[in-house]
Amino acid sequence: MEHYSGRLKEKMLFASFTGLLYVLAGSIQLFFSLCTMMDLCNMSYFKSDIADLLFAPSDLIGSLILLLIGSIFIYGMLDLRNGSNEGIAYIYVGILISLLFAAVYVLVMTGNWMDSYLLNDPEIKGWDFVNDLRPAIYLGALPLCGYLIWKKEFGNMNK
Amino acid sequence: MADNKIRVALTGNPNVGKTTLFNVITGSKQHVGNWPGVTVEKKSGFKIYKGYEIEVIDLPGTYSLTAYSLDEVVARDFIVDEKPDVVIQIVDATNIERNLYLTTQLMELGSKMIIALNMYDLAEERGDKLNVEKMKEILAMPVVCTIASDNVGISELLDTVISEKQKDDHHAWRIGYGDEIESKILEIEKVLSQDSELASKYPLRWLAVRLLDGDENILNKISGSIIASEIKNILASLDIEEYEALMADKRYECINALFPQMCERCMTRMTTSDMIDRVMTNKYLGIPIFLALMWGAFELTFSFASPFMTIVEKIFLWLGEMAAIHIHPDWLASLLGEGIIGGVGSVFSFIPNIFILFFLLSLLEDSGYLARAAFIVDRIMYKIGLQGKSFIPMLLGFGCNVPAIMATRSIEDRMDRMATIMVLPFISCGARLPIYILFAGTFFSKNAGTVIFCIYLLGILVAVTSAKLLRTTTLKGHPAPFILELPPYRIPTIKNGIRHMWDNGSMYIKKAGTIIMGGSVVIWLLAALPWGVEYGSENSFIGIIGHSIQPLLGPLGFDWKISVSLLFGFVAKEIVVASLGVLYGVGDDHFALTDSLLADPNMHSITALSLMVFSLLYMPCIAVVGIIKKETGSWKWTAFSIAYGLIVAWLLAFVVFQGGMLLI
Repeated sequence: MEHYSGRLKEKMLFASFTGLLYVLAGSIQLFFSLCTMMDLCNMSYFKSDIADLLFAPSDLIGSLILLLIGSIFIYGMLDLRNGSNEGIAYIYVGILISLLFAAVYVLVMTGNWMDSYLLNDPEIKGWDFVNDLRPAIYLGALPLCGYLIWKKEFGNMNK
Repeated sequence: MADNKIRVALTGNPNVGKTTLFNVITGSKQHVGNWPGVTVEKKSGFKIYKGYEIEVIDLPGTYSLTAYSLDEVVARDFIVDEKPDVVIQIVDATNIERNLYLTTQLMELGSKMIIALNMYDLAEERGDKLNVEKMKEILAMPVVCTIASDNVGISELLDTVISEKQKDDHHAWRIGYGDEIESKILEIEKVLSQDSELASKYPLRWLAVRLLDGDENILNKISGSIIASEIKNILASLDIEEYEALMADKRYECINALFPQMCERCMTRMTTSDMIDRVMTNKYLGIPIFLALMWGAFELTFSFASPFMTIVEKIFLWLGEMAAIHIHPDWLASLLGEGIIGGVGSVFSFIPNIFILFFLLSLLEDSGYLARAAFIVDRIMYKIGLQGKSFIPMLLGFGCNVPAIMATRSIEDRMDRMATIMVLPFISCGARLPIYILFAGTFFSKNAGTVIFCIYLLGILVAVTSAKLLRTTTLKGHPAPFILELPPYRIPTIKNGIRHMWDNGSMYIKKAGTIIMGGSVVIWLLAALPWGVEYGSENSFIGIIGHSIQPLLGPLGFDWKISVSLLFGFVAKEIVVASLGVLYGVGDDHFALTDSLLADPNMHSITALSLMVFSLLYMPCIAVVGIIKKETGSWKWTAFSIAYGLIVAWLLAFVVFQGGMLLI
């Protein structure tokens, strides 16, 4: 039982940390996207120092997806904290969805790479991998670790 | 029927694997979906096995023989009227208890029955202990374990079909309904027996049970009989609704008594699938997750398909150049280069996008997620006057509106069904995708995926708003309650995904080689005639047609070329792009259609947006008009659908164009 609650604690910590990272990245990207869209403020400082650092260009839907993934993890953490084991389901689905969107962005990157290097599309001349690196890709490393660690456990949830 | 011929009906609850089993036995490639209601018509196929010619009929899924919706009527009538030699009920091994309700009704029919206990691997995987021998003994019929998707148990099933066909005795199992109901059954049976024709056609006890169950279809079947009035008098003296409920109770009592003997540890418990559902169908997270997944699908459809699209485009450009250089006389080079290669090539270059979208939708469908989507939106749909069941045809409509409109047969309530049919053409089919990709890709480059996603969302929004309008005016009424069985989540296989992608996508390749090619030739002729005029000029026939309709579409920002392309889009929506390909002379020079559009001073992002909105909503293509007429049986509703679509499209495109012009 102690071991079981220990594992739950692990998952709670994982969900809190991952969820917060996603929410943070999503919020910064959302703020940057809204400012860019509405042309509200001079973004030069913000863009070069924070958004560029996070590889988070103006992308409203991308930012909302990060927030959604973050919310799923946090929802799971709150459920576990309230004593409901259903929270594990939220962590499991959070991991799946974050990996799914990391895969979507990697495929988009692959498409652009093919366009640029194989087909020499002049529209994306000088394209580099960094151009398409998104928070959903590098943040995906955390859920991937979670998946690899708890893969078996998630698979046995019904037993 | 000859002794070596066997007619087998496949029946069962929705989404238990009937069509998969049908495909495995007959080698057919009927569409299989991981949601209920995929089969709305019966389909038949043949199998030669051990010297027997076995005709297999795949019936639409039904929960009971009390047929409520059109597809259930098809299933029930076939078993009752056509009397197949053997009826195979496919039972979902992970949900035996619910499936047994139909079993109790089928057994009353006295047909030769076999139970195919499908997906038993999934039941075992989750820890159920099925006692198949006990099941055979209790139900007094053969039970064969199958995994249709893996071709397991099929030979045993076919062997059992042959041995059942050779048996003389029919199934004689019956449920006791209690003294009061049994006496009424006997009374009705006695009256029915006076009609010898009826007695030779149907089992009388079954007829009596159905009549006491308040089955309107059965009442219609006996309406021409000499005993019809006597039966009606008996039924009028009874509270049929109460009888119906009592009889259903008795069936459930029976199931509750039998089920624990057939399956140990088959109690309800939380599975992985249930756990995932807690999140996917969460009140607050369900819809955002659905929207995010759909956006992901459209983003990939545009971005990942882009290099493949470029390759196809380059091939057709090269072909066009070759035609211009090597083919003589000039008119033939123009017909091939500007007409056929330009038109067909413009559509062909979007085939990678169409295939990728279908592949992704098929993965979502096979995983079982799309059935959840119907569940998630049910609450919203109910508020606007439709039931969640209407969302399943809408999802099918992303592929093609024709099968989507046919799928509305699973909607029991006529008003719900009519409203769904009327709004389905607003759901963006694959044929409209090339238009969006062309214009979004040309004028919105990096945000193209998001623009296309928004266009699809607009289609859904207009559909649901129109449904609300219809349900509060001409098709007034409350939506029927929606009961949807959620299939378990499954890991989608690449093989199935590719098969579905090919099934849906190959239609566009065929269309490109037939209708689109024909349309391109017609448009080329109209652009080249009368002889002597400049190709595609305002003085050509197409220019004259374009100019005559342009005043109607001018307020939306469309010039005569766009106007005439939209007109030809009535035949098939892909022709819009093919026409533009012909009119912009693709194939004759080194420029792709996108370059020609960018160079056109009349075209800019607002016009592109207005055009996408108009293409999404304006009249359905000719095939959809045909199916609307067939399914509604009314020219009035068909005409309404066309007129309503045109008006809504014009108004919204007007708002987009004029509003956009004011803002820039």
